[in-house]
Amino acid sequence: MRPPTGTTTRFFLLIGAVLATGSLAFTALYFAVPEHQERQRAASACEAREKATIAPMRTAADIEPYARGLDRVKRCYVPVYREQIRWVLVGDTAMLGLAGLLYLLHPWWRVRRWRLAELRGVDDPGTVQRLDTLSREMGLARSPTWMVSADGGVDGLAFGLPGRRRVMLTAGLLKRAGADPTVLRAVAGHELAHLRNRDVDVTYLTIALWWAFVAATLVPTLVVVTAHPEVFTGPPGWLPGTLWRTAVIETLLPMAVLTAIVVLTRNAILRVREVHADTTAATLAGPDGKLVMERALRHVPESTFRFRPRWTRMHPTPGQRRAALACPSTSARPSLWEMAGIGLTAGLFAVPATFELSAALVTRNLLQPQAIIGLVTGLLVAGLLTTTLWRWVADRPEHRPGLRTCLAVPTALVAGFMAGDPISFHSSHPLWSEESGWWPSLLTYATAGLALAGGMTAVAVWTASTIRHAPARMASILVTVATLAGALFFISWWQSVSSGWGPVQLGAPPRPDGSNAWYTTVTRLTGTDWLPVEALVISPAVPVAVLLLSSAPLLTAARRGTRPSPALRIGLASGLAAACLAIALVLAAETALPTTVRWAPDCHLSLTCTSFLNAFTDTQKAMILLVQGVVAFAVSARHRAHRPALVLLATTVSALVATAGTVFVATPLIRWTGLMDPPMDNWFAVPNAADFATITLYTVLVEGLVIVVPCAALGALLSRRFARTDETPLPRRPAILAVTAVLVLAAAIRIPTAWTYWA
Amino acid sequence: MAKTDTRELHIRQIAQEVISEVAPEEKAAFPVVADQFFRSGEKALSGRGRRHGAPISWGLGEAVALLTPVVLLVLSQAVEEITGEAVRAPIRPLRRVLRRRMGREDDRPRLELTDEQVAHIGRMAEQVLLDREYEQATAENVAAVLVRRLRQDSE
Repeated sequence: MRPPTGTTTRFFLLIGAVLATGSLAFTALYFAVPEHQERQRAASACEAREKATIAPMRTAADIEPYARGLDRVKRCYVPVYREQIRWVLVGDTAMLGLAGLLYLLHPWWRVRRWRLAELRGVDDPGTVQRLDTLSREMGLARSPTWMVSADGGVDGLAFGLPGRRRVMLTAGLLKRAGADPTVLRAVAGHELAHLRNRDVDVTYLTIALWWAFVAATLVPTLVVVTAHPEVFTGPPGWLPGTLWRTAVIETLLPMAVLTAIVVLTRNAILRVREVHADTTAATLAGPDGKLVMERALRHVPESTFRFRPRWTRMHPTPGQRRAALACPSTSARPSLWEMAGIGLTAGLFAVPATFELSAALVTRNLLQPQAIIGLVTGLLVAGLLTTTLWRWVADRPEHRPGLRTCLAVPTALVAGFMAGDPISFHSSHPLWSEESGWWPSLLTYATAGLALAGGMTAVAVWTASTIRHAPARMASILVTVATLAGALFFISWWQSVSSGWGPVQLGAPPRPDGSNAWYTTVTRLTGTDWLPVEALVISPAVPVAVLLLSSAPLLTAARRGTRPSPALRIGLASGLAAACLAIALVLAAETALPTTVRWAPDCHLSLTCTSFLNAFTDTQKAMILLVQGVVAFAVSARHRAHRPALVLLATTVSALVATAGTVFVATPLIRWTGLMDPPMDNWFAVPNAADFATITLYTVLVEGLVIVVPCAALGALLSRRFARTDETPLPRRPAILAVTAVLVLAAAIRIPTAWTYWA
Repeated sequence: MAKTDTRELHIRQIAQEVISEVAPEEKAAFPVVADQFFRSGEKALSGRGRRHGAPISWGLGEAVALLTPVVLLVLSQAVEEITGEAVRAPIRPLRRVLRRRMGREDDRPRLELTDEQVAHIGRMAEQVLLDREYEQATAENVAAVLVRRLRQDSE
């Protein structure tokens, strides 16, 4: 299966940008209607009234009445938001309907506007016969209807609806073909390649979408909002004060950005189709197809605006076409600007959509709307990233993706997304808060951006590496897995961002308060918490993502050689070592610490101290994480091929064995020795052992990323020194299936519990 | 109006026959080029009916000089000079369709020209082509074919 061409991804981006702009524009138009403004005022009055009735929260008994009061406040705005959403949906549907109509009418319009006539066999039987033969050579089941125009230039054009395609040839081309038949082959071959590549529908839908966008969205909004923001309410005239705030900042600026994206995406789609048609024609139009195309392209004159930037053109320059013909893979190279545009579109969509959905659903659990919008946005962002990488790898399978591909491409995507937040100028900014001040906002912004960039880079590295080492028929499965995993990661990130990002917090010192003992520093470090990481640990998406990312690449990889892989052995051995350390820590603590410390009253509800239980388990976890780091470094340094998949497999196996040792051996030992409490009789029966084991496993895996990723990167840097061979033996399939089965079991236990956070 | 209609048809027929002989590669496009010439002679003579460069087109290739509008120009100017009336596009599509349906395409009056008039048109054609930077041989060839065709018509 071939990867989708760049046009498909760009076409989806275009639709996304058009719909996002439409939503913004139709919201502005909604508020321009006097009746709607009246409803908004009524909702504001209702909000003030209901807020006055809410009693302040002093005790636990006040929580429920307080929450009910907040629900009443939210309900004040529900009719307004729901009607606004309906308005946007109707507007976007009308715009898409108009685009569909324009697309259906395009053949009629082309024939009428350019006064085309059918090229009849009786007029020139030789030419028609040659064209029909070329059409068969190009693999088309049915020849198009050949049309002729009076133009003296050498040109051709494909158009028409499915079932009745047409190709227009100019009089100048037919004249030139008399002296040089290769020109007719090149131009007609290029147009037939458009038909073969199914470009006609995408292109004319793109153009139709653009005109529908201009007619149904851009012009009405510019007229109503710019010319007179209160056109339906106030007297005619210029209102600069209102214009500045409501029109320019909240509507026109984001609309200008989105319109620029729409225009640039439209241009990119049209340019890519041309280059793609040239290469198709060069391949299919006979053995000398490439020479014919190169020769014909020499006669295409350079544009008079030679210094006009490439991205502003709808048609590639002859030079670019010749370069693409010489090296077809250049057209598959991901553009950083394009990735930033995708990110920006996603950002401009996600911010208002989450706010509107949260407002319209009236749910106390804000994670639900965040998860829905996060899933839609995540699938778009991760899907475009992974298909771009797939295209890149498929076009140059012998090349290792470089730093630009694996780091710069996802970073550009994330930079675009992060820019969407302030540019959206929405009243609900998840990242940029006017209340929290400049520096905290900047810190939140930077850390959130870095976290998302890190996650997307990991997805990019994983995708590029696994596709390179898998058979071509498996690539689509791996891209789907990567997209899904990227979307699941994005959901958790978006929920963390939308619910409050928060700074990294060190753990509290153990009892007695303010202790200066040596273990105070250790406890503070091992007890470090960060809300986004905690959100990821409790997310039901994580078990699915771990399962998919660990198993899929190695189950689908092409196998060479018969030697067993050391990665699995490293994972098993390190897991056993971590389990032994956890057991040894129980015995050491029991021997070294007095019962006054170990049996001290629990203080987990107080923020001033950490209970011994928390301090101990955090230390155990920290040891396992350190082992994970060593495993990641060792596997990464030793293996160059399949690196991300093998690092993931080894660390997952290590975490599984370490967790089993901790939960099923160390914990009964704690109960038997009386480390936390007086020794128990039923020390072997650990309560809720399955839940305890799975939360420990996913905590280790998620928090482990903090140490695994840098250690793996260091290992990769030093791999030239340690790697034995480029040909990496893979673990045997039964071993991978066994690990997969354990991960499926863990996910089956964990997901129902974790789901309660979303429900 | 009926007079100009028949003249236009006649000019088209003569021009088509001349083009079939001197530039057969323009034969297929003759109907659309002639239509354009009778709508806007200047546009047809400029070599560019419409600036294409549309999406999924080949791109703006170099312009090729077409002989069809030049031959039509010569014949139109000659008729105008001889009869004193300019040939314009008749807006009678229904009538044209009916004539085609009834098979009366060839039922039209002939241009009856004297030998001097035919020779004058031949010289005019040669000069127009030379003015438009065609080669001497091409100009002479077109003029000769045109003269021969007009003489056949007058006999």
